[in-house]
Amino acid sequence: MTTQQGIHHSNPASLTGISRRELLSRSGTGLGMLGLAGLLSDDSLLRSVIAADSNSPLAPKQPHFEGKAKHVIHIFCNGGPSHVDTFDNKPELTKHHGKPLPFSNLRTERKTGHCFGSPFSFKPYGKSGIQVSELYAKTATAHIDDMCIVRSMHANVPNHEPSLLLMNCGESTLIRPSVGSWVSYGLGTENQNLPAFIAMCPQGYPIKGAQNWQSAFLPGIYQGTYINSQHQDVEKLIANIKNKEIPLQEQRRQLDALKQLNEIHKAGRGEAPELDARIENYELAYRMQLEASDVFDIRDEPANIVESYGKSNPARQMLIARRLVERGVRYVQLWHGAGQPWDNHDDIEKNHRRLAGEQDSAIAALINDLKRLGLFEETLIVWGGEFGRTPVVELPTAGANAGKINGRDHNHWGFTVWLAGGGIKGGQTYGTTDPFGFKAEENPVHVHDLHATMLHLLGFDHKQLTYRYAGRDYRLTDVHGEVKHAWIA
Amino acid sequence: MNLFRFSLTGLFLLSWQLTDAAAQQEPIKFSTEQIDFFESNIRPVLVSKCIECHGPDTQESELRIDSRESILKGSASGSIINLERPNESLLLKVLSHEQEIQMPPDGKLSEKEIAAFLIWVEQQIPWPVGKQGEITKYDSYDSMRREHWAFQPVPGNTPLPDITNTAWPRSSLDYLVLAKLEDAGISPSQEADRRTLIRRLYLGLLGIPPTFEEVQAFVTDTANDAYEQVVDRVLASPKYGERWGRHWLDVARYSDTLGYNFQRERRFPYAYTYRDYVIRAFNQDIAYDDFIRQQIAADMMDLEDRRDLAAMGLLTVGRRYRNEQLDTDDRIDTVTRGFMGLTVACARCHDHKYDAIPTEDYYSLYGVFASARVPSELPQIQSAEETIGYEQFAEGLAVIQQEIDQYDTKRATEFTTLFRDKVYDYFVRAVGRPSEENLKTIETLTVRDTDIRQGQIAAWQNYLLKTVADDDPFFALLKALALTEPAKFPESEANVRTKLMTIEEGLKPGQVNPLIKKAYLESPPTSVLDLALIYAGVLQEVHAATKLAGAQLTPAQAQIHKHLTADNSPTTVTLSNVNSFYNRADGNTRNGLVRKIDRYRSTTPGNPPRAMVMVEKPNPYNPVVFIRGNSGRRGEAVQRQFLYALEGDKRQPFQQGGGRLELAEKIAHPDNPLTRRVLVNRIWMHHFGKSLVPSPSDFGIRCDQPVQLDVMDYLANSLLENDWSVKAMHKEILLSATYRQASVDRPIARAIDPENALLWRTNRQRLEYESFRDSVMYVTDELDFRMGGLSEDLTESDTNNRRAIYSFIDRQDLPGLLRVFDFPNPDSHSARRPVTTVPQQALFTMNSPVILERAKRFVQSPAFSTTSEDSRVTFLYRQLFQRDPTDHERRVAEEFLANREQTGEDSTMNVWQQYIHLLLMTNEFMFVD
Repeated sequence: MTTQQGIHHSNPASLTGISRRELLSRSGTGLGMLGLAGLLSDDSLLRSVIAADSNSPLAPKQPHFEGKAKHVIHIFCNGGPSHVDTFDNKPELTKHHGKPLPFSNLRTERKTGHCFGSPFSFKPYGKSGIQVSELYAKTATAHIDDMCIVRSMHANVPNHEPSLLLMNCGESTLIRPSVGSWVSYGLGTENQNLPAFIAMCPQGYPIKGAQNWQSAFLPGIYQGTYINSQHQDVEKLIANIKNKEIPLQEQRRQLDALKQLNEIHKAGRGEAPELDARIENYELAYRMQLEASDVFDIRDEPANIVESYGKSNPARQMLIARRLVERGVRYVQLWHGAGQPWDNHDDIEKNHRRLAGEQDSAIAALINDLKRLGLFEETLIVWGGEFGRTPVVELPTAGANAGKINGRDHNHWGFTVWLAGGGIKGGQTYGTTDPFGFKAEENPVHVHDLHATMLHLLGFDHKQLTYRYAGRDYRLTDVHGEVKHAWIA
Repeated sequence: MNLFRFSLTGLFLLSWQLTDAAAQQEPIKFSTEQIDFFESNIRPVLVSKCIECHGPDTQESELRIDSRESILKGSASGSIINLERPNESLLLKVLSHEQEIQMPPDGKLSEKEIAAFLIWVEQQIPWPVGKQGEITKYDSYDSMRREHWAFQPVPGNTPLPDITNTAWPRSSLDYLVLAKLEDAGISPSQEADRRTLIRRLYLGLLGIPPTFEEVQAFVTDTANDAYEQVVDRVLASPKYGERWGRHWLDVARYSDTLGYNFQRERRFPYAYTYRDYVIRAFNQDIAYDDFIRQQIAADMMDLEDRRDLAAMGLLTVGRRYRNEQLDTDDRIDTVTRGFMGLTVACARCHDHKYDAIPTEDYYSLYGVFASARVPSELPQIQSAEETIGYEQFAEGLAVIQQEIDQYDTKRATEFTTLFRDKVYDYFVRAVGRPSEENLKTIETLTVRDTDIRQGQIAAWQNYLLKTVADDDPFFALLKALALTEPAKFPESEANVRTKLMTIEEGLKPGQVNPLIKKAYLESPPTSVLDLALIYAGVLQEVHAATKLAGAQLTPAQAQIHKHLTADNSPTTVTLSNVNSFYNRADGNTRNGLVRKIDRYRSTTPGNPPRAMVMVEKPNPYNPVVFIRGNSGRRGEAVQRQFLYALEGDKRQPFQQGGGRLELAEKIAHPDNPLTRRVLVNRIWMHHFGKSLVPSPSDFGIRCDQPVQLDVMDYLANSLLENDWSVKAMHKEILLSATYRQASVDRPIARAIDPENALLWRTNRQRLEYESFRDSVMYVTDELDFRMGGLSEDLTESDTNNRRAIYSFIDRQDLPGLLRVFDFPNPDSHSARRPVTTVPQQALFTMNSPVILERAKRFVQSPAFSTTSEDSRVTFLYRQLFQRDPTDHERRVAEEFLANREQTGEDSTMNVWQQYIHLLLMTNEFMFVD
């Protein structure tokens, strides 16, 4: 709140250099419906610094209706986690282990063989008694009654690139804005000192790189800011956040002199909102330096909290994600690692155990933490990959995998994502795959439906959140998408 | 509403009978006059006012009015036409807004139109018979063609309007501007002072400020044409092309990479040749119509300058989707929005929702672009001799090429050994073609199925089928039986065996090699697989024999072994065929090496430039509509031709090849109502910071007629008069009084026209990223003026001071710095950049080494250090702002500089450096008045 002092709205009409009318016409009906005024709910005021400038493209905006979720943490198991080894228990599959499926194998990326029962044991958890594999025992023990397990997801093709784009941008091939960009465009963000949308991945990029968090035709400011979370360096988070030459107090003197010169320059030019905006922008940037730098510094976290998350890179990311959400960041995407770590064509037992092991405690701790801080109800957590994996074993392809016959191929026909917090009705499963876990059968949910529902939870009618570009209004879900009201509390 | 329905129930019954009777009548013969009356008075109204709600798509109140029959059939309320008592027709009551239901709902027709409807009903609603009578989407396109302002021809210049303030105008366009201002009761702003004007000219045209000396020279120049001289000077500067070329690169969605590619190099090695063409085109003032033709179809033109081939980068520097349909879509979009402000790409899946663009037209253009392809070898546009650094480049290239050759050679040797050692396994698989089940039962196999190189199996099959003669002493037996069907095998085998007894043993053609005869007769085969096993055994045995110490092969053995060692043996792997034996893992390794070569070519100077052209395919592509954009759902065939919206019924299919040059001619034609207007609007936008038409790349139906249409059309005419010279258009605008106005706010004028649509002042503009960066470099004497060539990383580097247009643009991972400064997304055509104000921009100027380094180094430069302490502030003001500081500014400086001892230990910039740095951050530096 103290940082609010000294910020004045001299003229909220056109501080960005484009007029309000232009802005409205440029952004089509979407933004018009959102309302441009920087209206803020009181609770967000309490813990975030607010944009002085309500026309800033990132100023908080009202959605179409009161959304239950205000933040999103998307835990992305890139490569494709196996649903039949995690959240979609298939006793039939185990029974047929080593035997052919009673129906012919669906076409996936590579050749597949007989049934491959899960090497992991499942058991029911919580009041809801939902079956979860040992891989996520901690998460399930603590939170299954807050989770909605969607077991009937499906996508379009069994390849990483198009499926990553579909899951992230709602379109497999063409250049479209990512979910996080749409959400940042629609809602702005609560903390002007941090990016609205952050994509973290330790040690490099996932496949498809920055396209996964692209803003496409939305203004560049809505693009996800990528952080190599291995570094934990605020400079990787916000470029040029630190001045390596001039200490802060000297920079303050610089900015004071600058302000005087800018005032002199302004005198005699009459009303000039574009000049005001840039003057104010320096103050904003100055404060950003002070406040952004502690995000990654987890030294002030109690030891038991740090410990509860665990030591892996993905785990540390989750702790940082909590700190980001706490500070008002709108959308955080957590990639498990560079490349496609979950793509276990071989040795799925060993690898899935390791990968889930890097996550399980951390997810449990993250949800605990969010609950403790009162943020769980307004933070939507989404867990999943770009697709799932086949219930049948993958057959070896020379030079392509290790030829061990103990892994699973890509499966877009049916897979699992789960959601929690942010208005989700927990303790339920939604939809099913066939008895072997190959294909979504009951209540199939397409990726577009997932997107429509996520936007709904954030307060948007996915058909109305649009952006006028190249002669037409675009939306995240194109001409598809159905809100799944059953998931919502 | 309810009441109305009620009251009509009775009428409904009555009218039903009436219509029924009418329907049974013989078709009425209408006179030509009556039909003409319908065509000119009724059809246009039906099309523009009625059909949307009462046509093929929707039938509100169950009414359709697109045929005589459907009109007579009436609506849910019953008949709408009373042929016997025309005056009582419901249709006429509704049209005249006499009662509750009023049509059209958004405004009554004119009295004349309503009267025409009455006459029409009195004439028994004449309607042409058959096809001519149908109302199609083309009827509504026709009405759009007739009505939408942007589709109308650019009219010739009309007499200039009367104005009061006759002293103000300097150009005809000023008359047009002033007339509107006077109507609104606003006077134009004063002319800006000379320093402001020359800064505006330099920053606007060149992207860097003038020097203090240049400003002084202009301020004190008393010549009448002093201003014009400056205009001529900036337009003649090569820096002009670097500034305005960048504007065009936004339109052309320029990038140095093709987008995503997991295995191959992402860089386009020659994208820069397009960028350099664009810069040169602006500098040489290539006529805009040629600029259009060259970018679309340089390959089909006689070019004077071979470098103009590079113009076709417009088509090819887009993202590559590894999908021809999407690549083509990107080209259609860039060309149609870029040149004509038409969103044709919206019609990919269906007719354009708003515009006069049927989906057929999209596929007409699709046919044009799909008739061209990117050749695998791009044409060189400069010889090796002319290319500086070529020799060094070639040497380096040879070194990498050698790495690939070495890899291939090594693998070829390894494969040769492997295929000979494992000949048994490969031969059995190639000839015996065992099933998966069979394979498991053959215990003599040693190579796992997953390790088999399929190429070797194919090579054996090919060898036996095509190379080996039928009377080969070793393989004749096999050739006689290998393709036998299982059922016939015993019979054929018996025949072969009988014949075998009659054939002489020996090593000549027609004889039989004794070793195979022996092996065969020892246990005659019962299947092709058996046969394969026998042969494989012999081959393996002979090969094994060669490995024994001091081995000496018998002639019979030697003959057999020759099949493994001859140059044409399937097991002999050379550089020319090694490729066919690589599996995925080998391929990945090799791709890594190829990538290295591609990277080298893309990043090393001295590589002779090539043009990123497209060329015609041998046969033009004959397009069909892809239903809902799905290439698997083929709809009707369409012609390769121009757009209905612009040519209507008069258009003819393109004749030459795929028609790309013809398309370019249509776009560049003086009669095209859009092309020139779109250009004028873009140029105006950059000069005034605001365009005349607010959607520069969408002049379609939803784009309202601009307030300054007459200005736009005037300049469009002027473009033709000046042979499409862009520089002439600049000059016309720059010399105008409108352009020369001050930017100072005037509250009274603002109250009347807050958007400045009437142009009562010049809009203050913020420097774009490129101009800001270049200006910082320039005023600190560090700008590197080298033009052209490979793009370089300029966003991270604090030592590479080339102009920003030479920055490497990776569309797959656009640098954050560019994004926060509103650089357009290079994945598709950009109509204009957004203008956002975000703190990341301020952080860049406050903290980035790119900026800090300039301040630090400038203080060390001779220019600064030889200036006496007392004159330094003045010196800096002249250097950065081309003026002397005011007293007030001096005091701010003194106060800041006085505290020099406060520069702490952890500061690596002294107070002068900090001072210069803060001057670079000022609004005065960033804005152009």
